[in-house]
Amino acid sequence: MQLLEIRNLKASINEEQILNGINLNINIGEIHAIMGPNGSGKSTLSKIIAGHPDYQDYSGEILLSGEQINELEPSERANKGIFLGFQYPVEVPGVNNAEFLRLALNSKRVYESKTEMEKEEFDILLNQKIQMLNMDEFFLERSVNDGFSGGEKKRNEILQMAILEPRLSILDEIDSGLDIDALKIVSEGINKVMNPNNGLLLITHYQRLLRYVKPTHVHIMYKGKIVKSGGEELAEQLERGGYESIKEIQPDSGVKV
Amino acid sequence: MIVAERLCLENIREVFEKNINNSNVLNIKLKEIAKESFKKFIELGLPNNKQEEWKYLNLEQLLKSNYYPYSNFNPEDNVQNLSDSIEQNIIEECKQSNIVLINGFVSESHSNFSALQNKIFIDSIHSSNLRDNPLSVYKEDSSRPHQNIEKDGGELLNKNFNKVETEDPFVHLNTSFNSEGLFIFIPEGVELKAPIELLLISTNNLTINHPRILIVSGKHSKAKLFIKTIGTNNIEYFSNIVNELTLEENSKLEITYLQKENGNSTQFAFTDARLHESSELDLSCFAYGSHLSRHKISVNLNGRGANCKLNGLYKLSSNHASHNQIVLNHNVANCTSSQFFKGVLDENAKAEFSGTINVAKNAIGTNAEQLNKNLLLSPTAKVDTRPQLQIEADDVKCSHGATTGQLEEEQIFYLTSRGLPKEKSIEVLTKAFSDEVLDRSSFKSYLL
Ligand SMILES: Nc1ncnc2c1ncn2[C@@H]1O[C@H](COP(=O)(O)OP(=O)(O)OP(=O)(O)O)[C@@H](O)[C@H]1O
Ligand SMILES: [Mg+2]
Repeated sequence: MQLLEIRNLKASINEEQILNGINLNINIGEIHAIMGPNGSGKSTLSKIIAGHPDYQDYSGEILLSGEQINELEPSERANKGIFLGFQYPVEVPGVNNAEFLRLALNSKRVYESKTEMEKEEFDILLNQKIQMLNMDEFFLERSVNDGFSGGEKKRNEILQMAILEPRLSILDEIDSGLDIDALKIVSEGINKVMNPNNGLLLITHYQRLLRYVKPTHVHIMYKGKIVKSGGEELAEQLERGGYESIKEIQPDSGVKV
Repeated sequence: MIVAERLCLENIREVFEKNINNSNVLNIKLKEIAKESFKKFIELGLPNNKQEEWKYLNLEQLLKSNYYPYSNFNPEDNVQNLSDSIEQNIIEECKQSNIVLINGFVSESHSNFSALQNKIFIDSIHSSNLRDNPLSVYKEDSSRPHQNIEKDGGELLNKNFNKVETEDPFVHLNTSFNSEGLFIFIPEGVELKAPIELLLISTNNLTINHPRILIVSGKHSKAKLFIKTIGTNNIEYFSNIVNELTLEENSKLEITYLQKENGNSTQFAFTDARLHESSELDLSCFAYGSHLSRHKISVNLNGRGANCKLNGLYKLSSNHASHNQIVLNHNVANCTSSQFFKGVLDENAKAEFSGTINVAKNAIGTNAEQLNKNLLLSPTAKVDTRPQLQIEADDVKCSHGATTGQLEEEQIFYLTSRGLPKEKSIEVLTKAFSDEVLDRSSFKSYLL
């Protein structure tokens, strides 16, 4: 069953074309990985899917479970089940992390016409997730991402994902800044959240993460376009031979920019 | 002289004369003070926008209005009408330690200070050196050599009342008219557990009232106050308040001042604090209600080791304006002061923060900091912020800074991407901004 469909997405910022016609299909139960050199437009794609206001000027269609979401506010997209794990999670001083998590969950519950979750019940849920991710409880007492180390921020993103149980998670370089042990824990966390009814889009530079979280599809993005798609083996090829080994992104590849 | 008559006060002189001649409460000394102040007020005239201090204030409407001063007022009238709103505004911790002032006059029947009886001295300023039975007396405790307030109340008053050095006409206007006023003395060594609430309520349309509060905290004493100013709904009034604070050696005073007047009102408040050796003043000011409010705070650090913390939050919308003007005088060595003021402005709101730190020549070892941060929620909101340092001494640590900005788009996006609607995200971020000041008051839950 189709979860996310992107049709011919083109976007520019300051007159500069950043996305050049992206087409992407993700079905439930699938894990897609997008790899691609710096500046190729991976984060831009993820932000457009989440509804970032800076990128309102785009053409093409974004569909979630068949419903066009182009015009929806970010909060509505989130409440419909889209989750974006930021490449650079934003620090929000003065907003307590645990309270924020409860606010987020309750926003979704209100959207789904469910009753809000009381603090007691929420704390139990939160504790389970914290333990699952091997996180220190003191994360909860602090302000959202405020002064967190790079790795701590990434773990906090996964905690949010685990609480919100999104239908489609987009994780933008969730592996950057993680030490070897943390990468393992975070990967296990992601795997625990995944089930046959949701889907995942991973943006990464390294095959490492994909050893733990096995992708069903791998795409290579170059200059705002998906130039090649395949399976896990594509990531291996990249790891071994670098982008040089991908003939589609050579200067004479014929990719129009 | 014409000026004075224009502020509403077309009949100001007449009312003043009547006031002074008919008063059976005022003693000779207080009458003299009132007369002198009135003279000074007439001499100074009303301010205009050419004067530096009044540059940012929109005085136009105020000077056009006709507010009538009180010649006489009995706070025990209207009893039923007010009971509910007074009851609602007395906080839980102060049910037995509150004093209610109606239009500047202490209302005994609405106040309940049973928990303070025999602990501190309370009376109106006008009566305190006259009558034999003040509202609350401090009983002498033979184990500690306290001052005999019953006897020395007058002297204490003479020493501390009307000691504001200023050319501010509104202070002199207040002193000319101050309606009975309130005098609180916390005797030496007394540490109050329960906080005291002072509730100032304005009830009459088109009036100007002049509440006057004098608080003297005796040596080594400790007290917490919650001062709240409100007004009856839908009336228009001008509240011209003067607070005088004297902190004797090693005393500690923590005050939260909440201006929650109604939106038709104007409030000018002048707080003058004198800190003696090693005393500590913690003053947090919240400006929420008036369409025009001004709080001038003048702090004199007169004794070594004195420490003053000023915090403030002004939260405004509509076309409301709030003006915080602070003068912090480091007159002697080794004192510490901090000013931390934040503003949240929406719609067409306007605010001013003017903070001056003066460090006298001999005030070495001074440590003074000042920070003003403003959050503009609308493109038509406006802030004037003017930090000033005047340092004559060497070996001092002074810092100051000011910022004015909007909420960060990336923060809003982050919150909305987690499912919080945009308005809710803005609310959460604004609350986080305000909390930094709110968290510094022990009365936070009453300030939201
Ligand atoms: N708000 C913006 N203003 C100007 N340029 C932008 C903006 N956002 C993105 N770009 C540009 O768009 C291009 C794609 O950026 P994007 O962040 O999507 O790349 P990326 O593939 O995620 O790179 P990386 O691997 O380094 O994270 C870059 O050249 C970037 O400078
Ligand atoms: Mg990126």
